[in-house]
Amino acid sequence: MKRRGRTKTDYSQDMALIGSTQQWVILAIFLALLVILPHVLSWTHNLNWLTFINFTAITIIAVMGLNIITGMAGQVSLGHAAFIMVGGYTLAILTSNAHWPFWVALIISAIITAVIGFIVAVPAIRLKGFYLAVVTLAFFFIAQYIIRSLGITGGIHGIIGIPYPVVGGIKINTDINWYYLLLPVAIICIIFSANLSRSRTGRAFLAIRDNATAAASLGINVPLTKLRAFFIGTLFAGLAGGLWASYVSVVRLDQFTIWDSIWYLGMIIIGGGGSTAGVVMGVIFLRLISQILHVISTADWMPYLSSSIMVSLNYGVYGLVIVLFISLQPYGLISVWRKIKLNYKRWPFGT
Amino acid sequence: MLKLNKIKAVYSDVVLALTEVSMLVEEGSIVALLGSNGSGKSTTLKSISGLLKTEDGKLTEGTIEFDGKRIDKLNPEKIAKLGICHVLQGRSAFQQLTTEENLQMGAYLRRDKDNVKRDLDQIYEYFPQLATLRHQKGGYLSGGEQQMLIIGRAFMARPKTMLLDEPSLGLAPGIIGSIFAILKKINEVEKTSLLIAEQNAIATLNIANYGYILQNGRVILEGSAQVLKNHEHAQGIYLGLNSVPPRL
Amino acid sequence: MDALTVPLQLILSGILVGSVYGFIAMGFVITYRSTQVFNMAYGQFAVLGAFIAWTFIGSPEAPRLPLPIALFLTLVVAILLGLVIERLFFRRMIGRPLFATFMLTLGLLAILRSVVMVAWGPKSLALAATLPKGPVNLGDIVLAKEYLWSFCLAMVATLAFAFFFRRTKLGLAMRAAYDNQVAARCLGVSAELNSQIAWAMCALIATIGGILIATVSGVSLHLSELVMLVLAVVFIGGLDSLVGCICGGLILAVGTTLTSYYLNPHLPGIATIFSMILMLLVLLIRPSGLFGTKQIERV
Repeated sequence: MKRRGRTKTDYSQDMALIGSTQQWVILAIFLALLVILPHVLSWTHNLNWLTFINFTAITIIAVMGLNIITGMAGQVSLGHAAFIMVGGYTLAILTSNAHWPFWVALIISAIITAVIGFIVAVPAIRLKGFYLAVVTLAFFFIAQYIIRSLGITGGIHGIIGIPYPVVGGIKINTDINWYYLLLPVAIICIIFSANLSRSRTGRAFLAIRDNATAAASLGINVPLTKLRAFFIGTLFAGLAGGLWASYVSVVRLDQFTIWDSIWYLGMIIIGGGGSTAGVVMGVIFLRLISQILHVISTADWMPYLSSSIMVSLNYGVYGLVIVLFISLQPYGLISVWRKIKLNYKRWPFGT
Repeated sequence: MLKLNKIKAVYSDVVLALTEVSMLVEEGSIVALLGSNGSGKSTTLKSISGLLKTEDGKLTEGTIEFDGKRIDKLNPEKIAKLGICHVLQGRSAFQQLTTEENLQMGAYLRRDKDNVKRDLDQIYEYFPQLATLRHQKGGYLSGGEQQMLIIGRAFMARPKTMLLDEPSLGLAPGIIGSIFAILKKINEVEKTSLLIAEQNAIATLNIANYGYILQNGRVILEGSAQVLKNHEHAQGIYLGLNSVPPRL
Repeated sequence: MDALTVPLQLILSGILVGSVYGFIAMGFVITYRSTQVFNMAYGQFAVLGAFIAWTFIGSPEAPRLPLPIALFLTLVVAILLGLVIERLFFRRMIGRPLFATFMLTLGLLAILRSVVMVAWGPKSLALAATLPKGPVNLGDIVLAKEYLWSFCLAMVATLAFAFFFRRTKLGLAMRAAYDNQVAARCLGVSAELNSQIAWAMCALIATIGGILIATVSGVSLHLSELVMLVLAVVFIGGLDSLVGCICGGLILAVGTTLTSYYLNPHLPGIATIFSMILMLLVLLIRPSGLFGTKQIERV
């Protein structure tokens, strides 16, 4: 009888992210495809998709951070957009005003954001559930106020003319070049997050998400773990913010709204809370919907819809998708994917 | 008349709580449902009153009939309307409502205002302490007073059948005596049938007509109250002396 | 004009406005108590309600109906809306984890916003004179007539709801169900009916409150303000306390007017986040709020 599926003979095999040679091969092929993707797109004259992909990559990094806070550690944060904003503004100030080199500024922005996230978390983690969510929401508004009032942030006008990075002599100011910068960064973040979920810290996160009291009785320092989650999560946010600022070359207050915080949570739910792969799925899914809406609305055969109607529809569709997923597939796309894989493995026996 | 036909109750699809339980509560009778902790007494009552589904439980086998009608698939509210009042275990008085408001809630389903007023006075006669606590919030009453309150509240509903879940739990012996005396009185005067789930076998069997003993979710002994009181094995079972039930 | 005139005027107008805030917040608390749903979309109910009122009363295409009829129609539509939302969104969520329902309300928030934007556009609309306007002079203090009217109407409505809960059978049943839902069901209180009434009331109160606020400051889409406002009032007062709503609303409004007058010149715009700062302070020092039940935060 031929052996079906993967059998494991020791713990390291069980824990491994990529288990078998077959999976390595699939991964290699997939990565190769990713590498040649921009050239395929430019060859088929679809380069505007690259902008979409770049933005999606940045969003993945941001939402990966939120996933660590909310999906893994169970601390609901509605203020994530504020941290991205902080990261973006910090990078803008460091590179635009103070002329720091890009990578240094990016790392420092991420760290500063994480420190602020840590400080905000200290009083906040005493609360649970929607109390915590509302506190983070309040923080969002206060952060907006502070940034609006400070001089160096350019008030409501924001900062423009943020310089683009230059890596090894190559100017990163085209979509293709940005793609090759963002892709490795995003992949590193994904690998980091996947490893985190398997690590001791990651398991501590999951423990306090599911039952904080039980976790404490196992010797997990609950407050410290929560703080760690916020620190790492907001680090990602700061990173994403810095990349965003440089990519768009402008930071303004109205780029960051509470809606963004809500969509990020939605992406986590749609993808499947806690799971790294789920986050990627959730982000891509929602962003694709947005893109498809945009393409449909600008198609020739559609009657003219004002941009405000388009924006409104976007809200409505996003809201509807979130509601549908919560009602019907609360465990997200990742659970659907896993069911498909399970049935494939068992075929033709099925359930 | 309340009839349970070989019911099997399961929680969360995996925890078997009752197996092949059959019972009869005739009109106007008092039936004792005895057994130690975890034997399935509460589950039996919840199966009857429809609360099983609110705790992720369900009846996988058997039926429950009340006055000839099947009730095992109904909502708790509907079952209450049919005349079954379930008095829950512990402090189930409405903590933020006053004593009088608690009692008024008992009469929620009733339309006959004058009789309600009369019944309210009747309760204060049965439980004079409650009269003095009329405007006190339920949460401030002592354990015994709350127990009296929820029995009074159930009485206000004028049910055909009352299901009582461990009415003596946590109460001083003297109070237990008066509560059981009043239960007996309610049964005699109002002809309400009572199904009393209790660990305090003696007090219950003293006022009951018939009794069932549960162990591990099964009825292992049943009989008239007199027979049960004197049955040697029965005493052993609910005192925990015999772990293996005798073959009957 | 003596030194007290200005603060007195500020405090008085704060009280007037705060009563409306407190009234609106009651809708949130009633829903929370009855259904345990933390309804983030509540502010949007109010906005929607105000726009519906505009359709019947203020819009140029509005049918020439006498004011009471138009208002009545608006309220009927509001109640229907509440029942529809209960049926479509929340009925299926009974028994699901509270957090899932919380996220659902965020989705609902987006959907409602979308509906308002598509149906009425992003513009601000003026709700035609539903309330008499003009200044009222009390000695040296000038108050806006429409604020006084709003205050009176809010007070009347609050008393009406208080009467409902304290003195009617249904109100008693709702209080009992909040206290111990299982015991209430055993006495015949229908969980479904409870839910329907709670959501209908939610929509009703939100709409009335929305109209009251709109007549004073115009009907527009500024929902984030209303959402955060209600949340601030509710947390300051206590998540499950109706008395807390009124107090929270008063404290918030008075505080905002005072902050606006005294601190705005030094820290421009501080008044806009005054509510946030106050709410944060309350949450960090006494999470259950001024009047809320203490164990709530363990949810």
